[in-house]
Amino acid sequence: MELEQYHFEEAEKAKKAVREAQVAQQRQKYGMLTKVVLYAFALIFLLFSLVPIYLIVSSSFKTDTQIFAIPPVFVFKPTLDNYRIALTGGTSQVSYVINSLVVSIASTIIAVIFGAMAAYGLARFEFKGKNDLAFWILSTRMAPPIAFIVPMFVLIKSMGLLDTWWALIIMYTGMNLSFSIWILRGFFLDIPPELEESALVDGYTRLQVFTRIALPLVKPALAAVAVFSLIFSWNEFLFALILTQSHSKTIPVGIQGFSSSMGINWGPFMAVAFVAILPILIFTFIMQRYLVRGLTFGAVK
Amino acid sequence: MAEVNMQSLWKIYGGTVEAVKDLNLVCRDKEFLCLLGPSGCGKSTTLRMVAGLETVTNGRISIGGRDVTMAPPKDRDIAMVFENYALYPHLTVYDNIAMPLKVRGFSKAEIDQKVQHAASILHMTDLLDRRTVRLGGGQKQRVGIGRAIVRNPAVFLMDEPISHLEAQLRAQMRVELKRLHIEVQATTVYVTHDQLEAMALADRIAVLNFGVLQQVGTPTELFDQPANQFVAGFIGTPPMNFVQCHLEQEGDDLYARGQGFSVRLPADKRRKLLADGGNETLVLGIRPMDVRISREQRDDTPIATETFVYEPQGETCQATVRLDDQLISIETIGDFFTQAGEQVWIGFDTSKLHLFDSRTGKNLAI
Repeated sequence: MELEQYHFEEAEKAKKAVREAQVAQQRQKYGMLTKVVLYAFALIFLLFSLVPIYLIVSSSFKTDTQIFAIPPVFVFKPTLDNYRIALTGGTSQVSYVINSLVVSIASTIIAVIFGAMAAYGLARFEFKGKNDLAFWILSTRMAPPIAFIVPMFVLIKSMGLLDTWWALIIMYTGMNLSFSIWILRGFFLDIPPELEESALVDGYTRLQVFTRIALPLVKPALAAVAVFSLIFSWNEFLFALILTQSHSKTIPVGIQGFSSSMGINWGPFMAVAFVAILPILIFTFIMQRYLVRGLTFGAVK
Repeated sequence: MAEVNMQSLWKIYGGTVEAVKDLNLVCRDKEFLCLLGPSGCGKSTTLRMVAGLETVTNGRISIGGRDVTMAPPKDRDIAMVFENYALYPHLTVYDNIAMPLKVRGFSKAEIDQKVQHAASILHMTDLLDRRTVRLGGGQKQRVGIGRAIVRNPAVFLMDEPISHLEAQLRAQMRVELKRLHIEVQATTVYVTHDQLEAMALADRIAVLNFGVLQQVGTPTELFDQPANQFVAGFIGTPPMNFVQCHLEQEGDDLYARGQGFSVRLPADKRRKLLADGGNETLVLGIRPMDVRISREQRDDTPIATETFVYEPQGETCQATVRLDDQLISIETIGDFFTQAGEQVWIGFDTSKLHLFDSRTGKNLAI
């Protein structure tokens, strides 16, 4: 036994050494020029991604004159006036942030739970019309939202849900479900069926196999689906604009409130924008370790 | 421990594909029964029906006298070892082996004692706290077997447990499996497509083809008295030679004649063949080890042939000769040597030859 293990480990070591040598060789192939070009591209991409965020954050602490100063001011005395306008008094966005949190988190949780169950069913069981059902689920995402905004408005209105959390939770869950089902179905299909069959023989029920074997194995996918659902719900604008008026208005609609026929109120606009970015940023950072880790199962062979 | 009883078992997929047809088979208490056959013959489906992982279209399965046809896998008191190990990748060896006990609510101390015992049987006590992804194939399967024996179930079901391993390791694991069965004495149903494995391990072998049971018997029975041409060709390496022939009667003697040869049949075979009603076109089957070969024409090597290839294999050697337009392989022992193109003489050991119905494949001489 020790011998077998020894051989196995030696073979693994040898494979690793070969791999490292190959990588090293490949690295040497790139000359100086290639490196410069690669870094130049990376820099351009970085600027492209980060400059807007810098503008939002810096502008939110500037006065109107500083925002539009030419040449731009990089060193200035920060002011919290914009935040005061944005978060207190008559123009307070706080309730919109709360609305956004409630609607996004609720729809994400529902989409992930039901998505996982539906995906597992589609991945593991044979039933009539299974593929048609799967395709129908996907097809719910095919039409542009603007195309069915009017019928949806009428539906939500007739249910008496206009300007409530439920209106948006239902809409966002519906839109996130198809995505969550399709992603998770792929991951469930990747789990070797024997693993679950083995658990069935070991003494689990089907439901236990789902919750204790399958779900833990697709954790990274659950995290990815949760992140994407949350981002989608948090950023969604069109339905939020049409289906809410005041009570359940969400933050994207709120931000838009700072631009009017009188012009755009840039300072508070930027302050709210920054507040709107933060939760997603934090959540994504928390989920990041699940997103990368354990994507390969190594269960078979 | 218990007996597994399959009664007129059918499995039909999608209303049309018949995977298992009317299977009647018993795995006796403490017996090691191999289900043997080529891929797609229904052997795995049969095992999975016994495990409860596949529904039964028709028929009955009982384990230890209890009808389990409709019971879920967990209520059948079975353990299963899978071809691709099916270990929980996120758990250690210890936790993998302990899993079936944990699920069934054994106490911690009891679990520990049983896991240690199973690990010691499989010689892997020093690997218990390893993650299973960091094990070689042989050891992964040892963990799989550990997970099966730890619960002491009524029946072991093994689905090609060692066919993923490389040849050398497979031979070693075969020995271990056989020894394990001697020690644990568990009723075992074992699926394999490797006839050598089946011959080496099984008390009895059930050969399946196209979902139909061909023959059940001990390895020797299958080897010496194959029920039909399929079983005869499937069991034994190198495989049995088959040549077309027909029967001719001359006086009291019955001859099997084909292209380039004529063999006088021994009295006992003659009687059976004549009783059968004189089916005239037949397939003559003879194992490579039952063909004699010589460089000169002798009484026991009357058939003239030409060497096609000659393969030395150490202990034995294999010569393939051309008899008219058919190839016949011969296993030779000792220092016989020939080379391609050379004329050699062969003869059949008539007491060991088989005659099969050319249409049904049925063995006419037993």
